[in-house]
Order: sequence, then C-alpha cells, then structure tokens
Amino acid sequence: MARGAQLLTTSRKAAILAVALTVAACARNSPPLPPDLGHLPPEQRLLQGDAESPEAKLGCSELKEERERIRMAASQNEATIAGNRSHNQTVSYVGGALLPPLLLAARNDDDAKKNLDELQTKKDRVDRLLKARGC
Amino acid sequence: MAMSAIALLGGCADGWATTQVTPQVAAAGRQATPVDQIQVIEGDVTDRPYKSLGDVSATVNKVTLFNADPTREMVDKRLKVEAAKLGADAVIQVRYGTVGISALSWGSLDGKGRAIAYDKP
Repeated sequence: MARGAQLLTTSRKAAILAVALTVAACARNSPPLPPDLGHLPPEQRLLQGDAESPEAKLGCSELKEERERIRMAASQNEATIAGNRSHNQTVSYVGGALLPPLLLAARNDDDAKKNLDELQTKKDRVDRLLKARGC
Repeated sequence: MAMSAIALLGGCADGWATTQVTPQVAAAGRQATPVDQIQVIEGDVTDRPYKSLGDVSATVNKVTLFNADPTREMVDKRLKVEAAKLGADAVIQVRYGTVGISALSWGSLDGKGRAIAYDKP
C-alpha cells in the first residue's frame, strides 16, 4: 500500500517536471500581424503613435541603420534560442527516459523570446516610417 | 511493425501542418493562383496598389522525435498554398515564431502573413 502511494508520488513529480519542461522549452508563436493599411496611400500608412515614437525623429539613413541593428539583434536572439534548443532536446530525451530531475535543466529563453517580439514591433514601425517617407 | 511505422513517418521530410485562414470579402469568387507564383515578402508593398484577401497562418510540426526541426521555408510553402487558394499574388508582412515543443509535437514552427492581390492596371 505504502509502496503504491510512493509510486504515485513519484509519477506525480515526474508529471510536474514534464509540464515544467514543456512550458520552459515551448515554441514561441509568431507575433501578431499589424493592422491592414493597404487601402491607404503609402505615405499615410502610419499607426497612431508612430509619429511620436523615438524612431520618427530619425532621418532616412538613420532609419535604415536602425533597421539593420534590429535585424542583427533579432538574429542574435534567434541564435540564442536555437543554441539552447539542442540542449533542451538532449535534456528532454535523457530526462524523459532516464532521469526526470534533469528536465529542470531546460533553458526557457524567456528574455530572448520577449526581445524578439519587441524587435518585431520596432521593425514594423521602422518599415512603416521608411516607406511613408519614401526612403 | 512499430519500427516500420516510425520509418514511414520519418520519411515525411516536410512534417505535418495545421493552417488557418481568415478570408476577407475581396477573396470571394477569386480563382486560385498557381502556388509557385506567390511571392513571400517580410514587409509591406508600397510600389503598387493591392487589396488584402485575408490573413493566413501555418504551423509546421516535425513528425517524430527523430526528424529535423521545421524550417521557415516549410512554413513559407504552407503559407503559399493557403494564399494560392485565395487567389493571391503575394503574402506580405510575413513573420515567424521560433521552434520549440508544442502540445502536439517535439518541434513546431509557426508563421503568418497577409494574402494580397495586386490591382490590375
């Protein structure tokens, strides 16, 4: 009886660890699409707030540099996640099959995922400004 | 038996996918476009007028634990297929998630975009 209860507790712990891993190493969804402004002329395809944003103060060449900076920062964050993906897969294969506590070693990449979402928002804004100004 | 089933699934290099389409009124009654003619563009198009046909999204999942992770090219392919059904010329504002575990797969990657048709001169 006691052995049965112990087994139940162990399997519960394993289930909790598995859930922790799934949450930690889960896929990041693509960011939402911007509003559809296609019906407007290009120079008017700006959103409320674009004109007051820090990027609005930049000239064409600075905006292009900013776009390049965003692209490089996004690549770095993607590389971080991709690097940890191999680690997480190894941890989940071994942890899932042999040693459940190992699942706790999974890396969640929360910061990189958050950065990527923010960078996409910024990239969308910079693109709108570039195209609205005909840069 | 089990091994051959795994081998068979493992052969599906493109993985399995789920897609979602939110068509707009402009998409009604349009003829499908050949898939290979659809452009995939990460930003907006401003050099020619267009109308939006709807938002499309696709999630590609790897079939087994042992398959390679899905790629952006695989997502693009699925987006093109859905956009083609709407009669689109391009998918714009395309963006991607990052590969990771999902409820249904050891490796999922999603992407979305807006299917558009260029105005004919």
